[in-house]
Amino acid sequence: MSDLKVLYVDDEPDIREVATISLELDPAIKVRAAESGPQALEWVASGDCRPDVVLLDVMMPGMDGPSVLKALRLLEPTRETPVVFITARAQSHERHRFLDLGAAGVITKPFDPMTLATELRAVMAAGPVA
Amino acid sequence: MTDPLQLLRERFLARARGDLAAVEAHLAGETLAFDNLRLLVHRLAGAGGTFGYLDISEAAGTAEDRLLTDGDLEPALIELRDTLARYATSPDG
Repeated sequence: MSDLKVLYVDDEPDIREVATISLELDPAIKVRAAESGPQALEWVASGDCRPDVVLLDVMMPGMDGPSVLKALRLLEPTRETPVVFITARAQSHERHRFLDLGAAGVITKPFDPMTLATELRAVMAAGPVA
Repeated sequence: MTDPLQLLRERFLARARGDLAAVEAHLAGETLAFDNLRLLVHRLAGAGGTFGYLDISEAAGTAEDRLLTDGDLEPALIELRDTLARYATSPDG
């Protein structure tokens, strides 16, 4: 089985690190973590990063998650790449809005570091069901 | 070997001590702008439980809910302040 390449986008450095460690507990997952939407978009646009799935924080300063999703859809390499939002509880009620934007699913923060990879795979397998 | 998650947990608590100071100042009248306060409680709500501090996530989540719904914010911030203060000197609260 080939590796699942995850592009994780979150402005919080501690969360980026713990998410990377958590996801890579699954030996078939490789993570590239970006500190902002613009950085992720630059990596994709330059061909430096070709993710199989994008895990995207919703609330980030400057460019928020939904704006990043829209921009990813304009780039050929990520036109159809599954995007999963990851968001704190207060925004989880917006799940329907995120799915309407084209997200493949939503994971709620705080996440359990021991099960994040399993949760991501489950969300991807389930598809965008509201 | 040092557990990398333990190091991240310590960094989270160090940052939380800064957040505690900001919440205390806000309650004392040095009012944070809405966006800054929203970001502070949102981050705590999202991160606390990941590092093993579900009570921080819950207190911050309640504060964020109140902030977004024009609810009674002060009791929620006091609860958040008290929760953060428990961890200010010890990672076990």
